[in-house]
Amino acid sequence: MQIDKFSYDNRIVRDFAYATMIWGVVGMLVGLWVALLMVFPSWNLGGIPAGKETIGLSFGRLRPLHTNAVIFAFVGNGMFMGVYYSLQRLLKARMASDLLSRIHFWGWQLIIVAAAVTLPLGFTTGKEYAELELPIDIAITLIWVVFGVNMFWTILKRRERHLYVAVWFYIATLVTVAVLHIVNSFGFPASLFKSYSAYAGVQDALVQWWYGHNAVAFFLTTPYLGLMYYFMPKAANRPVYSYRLSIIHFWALIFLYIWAGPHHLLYTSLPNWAQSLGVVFSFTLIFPSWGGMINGLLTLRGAWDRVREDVILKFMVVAVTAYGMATFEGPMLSLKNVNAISHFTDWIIAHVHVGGLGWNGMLTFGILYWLFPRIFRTELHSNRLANMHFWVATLGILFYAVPMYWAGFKQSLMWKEFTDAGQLKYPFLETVTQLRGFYAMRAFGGTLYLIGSILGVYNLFQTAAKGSLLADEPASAPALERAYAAHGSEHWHRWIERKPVQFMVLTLIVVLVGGIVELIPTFLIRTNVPTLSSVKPYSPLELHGRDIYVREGCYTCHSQMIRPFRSETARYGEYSKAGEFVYDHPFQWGSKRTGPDLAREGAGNNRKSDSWHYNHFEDPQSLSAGSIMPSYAFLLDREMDTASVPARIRVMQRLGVPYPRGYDRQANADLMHQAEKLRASLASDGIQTPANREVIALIAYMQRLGTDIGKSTTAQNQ
Amino acid sequence: MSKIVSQYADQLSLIGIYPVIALILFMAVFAAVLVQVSMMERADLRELSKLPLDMNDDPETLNEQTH
Ligand code: HEC
Repeated sequence: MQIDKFSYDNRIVRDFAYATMIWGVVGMLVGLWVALLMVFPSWNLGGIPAGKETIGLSFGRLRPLHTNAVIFAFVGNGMFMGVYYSLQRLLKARMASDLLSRIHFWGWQLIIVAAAVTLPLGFTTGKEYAELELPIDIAITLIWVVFGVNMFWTILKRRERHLYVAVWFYIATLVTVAVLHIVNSFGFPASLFKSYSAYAGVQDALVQWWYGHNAVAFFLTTPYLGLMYYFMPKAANRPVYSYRLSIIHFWALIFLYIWAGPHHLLYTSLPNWAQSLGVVFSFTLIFPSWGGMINGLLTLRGAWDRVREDVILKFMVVAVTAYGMATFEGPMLSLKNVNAISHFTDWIIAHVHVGGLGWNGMLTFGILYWLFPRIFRTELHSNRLANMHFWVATLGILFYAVPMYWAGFKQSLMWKEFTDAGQLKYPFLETVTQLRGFYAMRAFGGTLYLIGSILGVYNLFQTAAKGSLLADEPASAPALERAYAAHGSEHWHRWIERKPVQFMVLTLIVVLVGGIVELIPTFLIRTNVPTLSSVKPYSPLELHGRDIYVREGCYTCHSQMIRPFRSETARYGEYSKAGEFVYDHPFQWGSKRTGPDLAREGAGNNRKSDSWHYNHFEDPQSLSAGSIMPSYAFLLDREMDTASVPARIRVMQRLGVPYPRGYDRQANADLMHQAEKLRASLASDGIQTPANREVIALIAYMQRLGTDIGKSTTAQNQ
Repeated sequence: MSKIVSQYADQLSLIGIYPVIALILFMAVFAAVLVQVSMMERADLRELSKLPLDMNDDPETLNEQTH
């Protein structure tokens, strides 16, 4: 038998590790900053001039920066670090191409930098966790392909015939993220950094949350489960508790996850059958998830005494426990009656941070602490510091989650409470002012977690400085013989485990079945979106205002979806109908009500005067004492970008919005005409402003919201 | 083509039992995996589960290897 001598590439592991730590701290810092903005709204800095654009350091633009940074930069780099380390060892092969590894690394960092530049500039698609604009989306696709080629090439060159369960999770991640990203990012550009989602309204919502939920599933969960299956046995120095269970865990999890997206859209205008699908599958998810958690925890059987001493195991135990908590809570939140309370509240924010800080964060640091002494051939700089990190971070999670759960309940109960006379008991503003203390406590929890992370990063950098990188770690293994004699009667699963290509295809089929079955009917069946004859396309001024709404990230605080509950219809008006959103590219239903729902802001009792909006945008606190909405005073000065209007109208036409032919040439005249009327209305209230200001467009959009349905409420179902 | 499909799909009130069909599909896949897994041999499983461990990457011994 021939023994091959080769080496493992540890340099790429180190690079991704450094990137994980640096971006982790950056992402958490931005998170802390946006948490503080909810306590001190005057710290919002909007509209710092930057050439033709503005830099916005306010909540609406920074919140996407935070989520993108922690998901794709912190966890993303953490995933690549762990995958590059474990994949080489599990396959007994060096990564197929060092060049592809480097391209992957630098490409990914460039994408992150591009995100960090463009998001504060207001370049956004307005779709949560997929905010990056088209050129960056394309770059992501290319770099993902580089990663995929490198990984698959390595798999094909491997010296270990059987693919360990961790590798299946990596393969599932690779194919599914590619599918999700491409389908959801589909859009048409009006300019380099402004595109419109190809889908509208209900369809856009379904595609977006199919993507959004599976970003959680296949970016934050499956790769990290792979890492758990590799690094936990390593750290505990014993094999995974049950390999059988891991097989079941894998297939059940990827089959179920892909269907769960609609649980983000319960009680919305999404067709009922799709909502039911989401509920059923989300609930069932609890079984494989808990199977995985139990498998992870029981891997430590007989090693519990070591958990007390070994800080790495402590991090891992908290991570897996947090995974268990989040995956118990997730299915509960998908039950319609629980969701009716939790949706749009801070409860969800607590939920995702148990997952993010607990599962992803703690596992990442556990792996880092395990890796550094090995690739730098030295001991950890300070065990005491690592222990301190552990305790500070754990406390941080508690201080984050508990106030947010409390805030979520409180908020929801207040929204729903009626007086004996049948009136809503609390004006929305009161629910805002009562939460401020909770937001302050949450910021404190976040600070603790961040301090812990900084301690960790310091400790790890000291470790690196003390040792020296074993860049090419020598290894040897017998070459893989071409011919393989399966012993005895072989089972299907034993076969698929050594067939990576077939394995990938099977995984792809499993996730595509869910995706296709769920998405296609929504596009094909017309009764899903009953047309409302009174719903007309936005006027050019309203469209422009809507673009500003998207640019400023108003959707990070405001929903546009009135659910069919008495407490909501009493507060906001008639519940939302699917047919109202057919021209909404992208949909803006939102996921959080820090501010009130705006779906009928221009209609019924909600309607306010133009001057009210003008003054409110300039200084929200002057009209709503204690509001935490940022000031948008800069919109009062900024001129509208009318030059881009014709191109935007043309893209809308391509997407099927029925503007008359050649309307792009007339659009600006109509826009100025409507703006002039608004200017006159403001003047009659004593506000002097030129007509061509951005605030005018935004007010036009506010006044349009929800007005269609007032004209005719007869839905034409057939 | 899509028109034909959508006409038929419109008439089908089947869409309501969609979740049930999907769940049955899942149960079938799940059952198949379960059967397969229960038939795998213990020795094989043990061997597979040891894959991450059959390599020496202790910091100390790594030092010896490379010095
Ligand atoms: C940090 C969260 C936040 C962001 C971002 C935000 N808002 Fe608000 N908004 C609020 C809160 C809280 C209220 C309720 C208190 C008040 O009236 O100011 C509110 C109220 C409003 C109201 C009054 C609604 C009513 O019927 O009382 C409008 C209109 C509004 N926001 C529009 C916008 C627009 C447009 C944007 C984006 C340019 C935006 N908001 C961004 C938090 C936010």
